Amino acid sequence: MTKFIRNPALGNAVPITCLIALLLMVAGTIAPGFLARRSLFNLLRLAAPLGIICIGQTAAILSGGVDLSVGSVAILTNVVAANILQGKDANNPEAFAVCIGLALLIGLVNGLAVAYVGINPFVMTLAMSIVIQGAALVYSGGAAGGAASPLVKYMGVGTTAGIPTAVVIWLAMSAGTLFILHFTTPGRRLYATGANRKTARLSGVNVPATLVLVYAASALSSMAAGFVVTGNMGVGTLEWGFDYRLISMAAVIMGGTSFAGGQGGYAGSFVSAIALIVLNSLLTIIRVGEPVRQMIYGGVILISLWASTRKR
Amino acid sequence: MNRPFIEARGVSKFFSGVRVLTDVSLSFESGEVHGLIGENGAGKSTLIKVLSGLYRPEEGTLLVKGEPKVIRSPSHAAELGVGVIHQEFDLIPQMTAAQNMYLGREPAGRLGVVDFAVLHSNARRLLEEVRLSIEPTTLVRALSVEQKQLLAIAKALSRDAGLIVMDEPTAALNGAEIGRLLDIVRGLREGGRSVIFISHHMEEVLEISDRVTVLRDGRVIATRPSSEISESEAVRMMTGRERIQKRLRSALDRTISPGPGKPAVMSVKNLSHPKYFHDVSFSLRRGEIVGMVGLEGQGQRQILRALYGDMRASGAIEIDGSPAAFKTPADALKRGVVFVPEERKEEGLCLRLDIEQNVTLSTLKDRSAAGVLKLGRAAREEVRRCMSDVKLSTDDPSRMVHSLSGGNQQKVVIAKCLACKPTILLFSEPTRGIDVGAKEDIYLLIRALADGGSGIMVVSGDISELLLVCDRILVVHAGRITKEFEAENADREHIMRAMWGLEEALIDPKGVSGGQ
Repeated sequence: MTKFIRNPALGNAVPITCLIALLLMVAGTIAPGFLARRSLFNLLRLAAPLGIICIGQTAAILSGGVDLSVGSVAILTNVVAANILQGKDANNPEAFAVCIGLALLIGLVNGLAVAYVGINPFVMTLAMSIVIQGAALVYSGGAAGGAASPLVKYMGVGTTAGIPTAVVIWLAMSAGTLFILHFTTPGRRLYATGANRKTARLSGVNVPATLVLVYAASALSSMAAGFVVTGNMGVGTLEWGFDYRLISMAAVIMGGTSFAGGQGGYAGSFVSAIALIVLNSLLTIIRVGEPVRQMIYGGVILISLWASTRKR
Repeated sequence: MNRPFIEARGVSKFFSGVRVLTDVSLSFESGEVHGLIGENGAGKSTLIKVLSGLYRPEEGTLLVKGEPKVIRSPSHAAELGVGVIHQEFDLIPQMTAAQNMYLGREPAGRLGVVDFAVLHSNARRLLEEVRLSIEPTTLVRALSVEQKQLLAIAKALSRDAGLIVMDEPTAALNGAEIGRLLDIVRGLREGGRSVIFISHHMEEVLEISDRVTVLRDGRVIATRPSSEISESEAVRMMTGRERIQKRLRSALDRTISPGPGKPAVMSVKNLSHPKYFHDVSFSLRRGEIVGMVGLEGQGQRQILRALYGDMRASGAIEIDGSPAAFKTPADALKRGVVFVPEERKEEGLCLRLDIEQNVTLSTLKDRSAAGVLKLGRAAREEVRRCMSDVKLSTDDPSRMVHSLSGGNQQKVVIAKCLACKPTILLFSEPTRGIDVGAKEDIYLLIRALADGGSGIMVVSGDISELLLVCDRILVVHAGRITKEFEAENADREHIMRAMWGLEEALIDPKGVSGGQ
C-alpha cells in the first residue's frame, strides 16, 4: 500500500484527494446544497475542459517544456466550431474536420519549432498563443457568433447513463492518457526525453519526433476541451471566464509533475483539476472576486514549485 | 619546517552512506608545493571540495593557520585564504580580465561607482606577478587556455590567497606552456604561499612539489618528500595495481586473446572530422579490447562518438564487412553498437527515472507489441537478469537511479547497453569516479564480453586502466592515431611520450629513470 502511494507516477494525487475532501467539507458547511449529487456533477462538468486541457499540458511539462497556447486553441476551436456549426448537426463533420486540422497545424508548428529549431517552448507557445488569439479575433470580426449543434451541446451539457457526457469524455480520455503514458513505448520515450534529453538520444530515442507528438497531442486535447466548452456555452464567444493557460499549469504543477521534466504524471493533474474547480466554486460561494482568484492560482503555482524544488 | 597554512585532521566524508574520504590527515605548509596524486575517484577532488567549502566533512576537523575552522562555503574559504583554480577556471568570458579578478569586490569610489583606475592598476600589478602580459581590459573570451590559467592564478592572488589549489593545471597546456606555469608555481612558493598541485602527470608533480601525498580509495596512502619517492613507486601506491591485476589474471585466462587471424568486426578507414580528428584508420577484431588514449582534447572521445553516430564524420566504417556510417545513435543501436558515455549523469542515465525505465530505454521496441509494453512477470524477470548480469547491488527494478552509488549507476548504464545484445561496445571512461569494487566488476565484465566474442573499444585517460584491460592501445595525438601498442609489452612511459607527441625523452629525466 505504501509502495502504491509512493509510486512517482501518482505525483501528489493522494494528498490532493484529501485536500478535495477538506474543501468539500468546508463548502458543505457554508452551503449545504453544495454536496448534492447534482451540484457535484456540475462541478465535475466544469472540471472536464480543464482536465482535458491538462492532458496536453501534462505531456508538455513532462517532456521538459510547457504549452502556453492551450487556452487559445480552445478559444479558437470554440469560435470556429460555433461559426461553422450554426446550430446544425449536418455541419458536424466539417466543424470537427476543420478544428482537428487547425489543432494539428498549431501542434505541429509548436512541436517542430521546439524540437528542430530549438526555440524555447515558453517563448514559442506564448507567441503561438498570441497569434491564435489574434486569428480568433480576425476570424470572428471581433464579435463571435454561431451556435453549437445538438451533438456538441450533448457533449457539453448532456448526460450519458446519468453522468454528464463531458465527464464521460474526460474519463475516457484520461484512461487513454494514463495507458499511453505508462504502458506504451511513446509514453516511455516521453518520460526519458523529459528526464534527460541527451541520454534519451544516445539511447536511441527519437527525441524530436517525441516532442512533435507531445505538442500535437497537446493542441488536440485543447481542441477537444474547446468542443466541450462550446457545447456548454451553446455559442461562440471571445469572453471566457477561465484563463486555462494559467490554471492548467497550476493544476499540472500542483499535481506533482515537475517543470524539470520526466517526473510526475497525469493522475496528479486529474485530481488537481478537480481540486482547483472545487476551490473556485468555494471562492464563488464566499464571494471572492476574479482578481483575488488569479492571485490564488498564481500562489498555488508558486507553492507547488517551491514544494517540488524542496523535495529534491 | 614552516608552519602549516591549513591542516586536515581525521577528515571523513560520506555520500549517501558511501565513504569517499576516510580519516584523511594532511598538512599543507606555507612556502610548500604539495603534490596530490591518485587515480580517478581516489578522493582528490573530494578533498579539494572539502578544503574549498563546497563539502562539509562528517568527521574530523580543519585547522587554518592553527585554528579549527568550519569552512562554510567557497566564499568563506576565499576569505580564509583558500584559492581554488578549477579545471574550468570559473571565469566569465564576456567580462574583462580585471573585472573577473575583482568580481563582486570591485574597488568603489563614492556612491558605489566602480573606480576603474584603481581596478586596472591593481589588476595590472597582479598580472605582472604571474607574468601575464595582457591589458586588464582584455576580454576573457579572447584569451588562450594558458592565459586563462594564469588569470585564474592572478584572481586567487587578488584575494591574497595563502593556499592556492591547482586542479590539473597542465591538462590543456603544451610543453613550453607547462614550463612557464611551473616557473610561476615556484614563484608562488618563494612568495611564501602554499600550493596544492594536482596532476595526472607524475613527472610534473615530482618535479615541482616539495612533498607528495598519494591518495587511494579516499585514504592517504603516504606523504613523502618528492626527492625520496620514485615514479614507479608512486604509481604502485596510487593504483594498488598489482592487486587488481592479480585478481583479473586469475579470474580470466587471457590465453584466448585474439590473434591477428580473427576476423575484424569493425574496420575504420580514413575517418575524418574537420575539427576533431583526421584520417583515423584501424580495425577491431572479434573478442578484442582496444584502448584509445590521449591527452585531454586530442579527439579520442569524438572518434568514439563518430563511430556511434553521435557526430558526423567522413570516411568509411564497416561492420562485419558492410558499410555502417550511422546518422544517429538509433541507427548504431540497430546494428548492435552500443556506447557508454563518459558523463553518466549527463548522458548515460535518466536520474529521475527508476532502474527498469533506464535499463529498458534502448530496447523498448523489443519489449513491446504494437507500441504496448510487455510489463508482465517475464519482462520483469528479464530486467532483473540484466541487473544481475552487471552485479547491481539491488534487485529492485523500481529503485530510483539517483539513489544509487556512482558505481551502481554506471552498472545501470552498462546493463542498458547489454540489453541490446551488442556486438560492438564503445566505452568512454568506463570507471571514472567510481569505487574500486565496482571498478573491478566492470573490468571483469568487459573482459567477459570480449571473450564472448564482442569487439570492445575503451577510451580512458587512465593509462593503468588501459594496460590492465586492453589487448591493444592506440594513442591519439592532435586528432590522429600516432602510435599503437600491444598491451602485453607496452609501458607507461612509452605511452605517455606518445601521448605528448614526443619521440625523444623530453620528459623530466627523473621520471624516465624511475627514481634516482
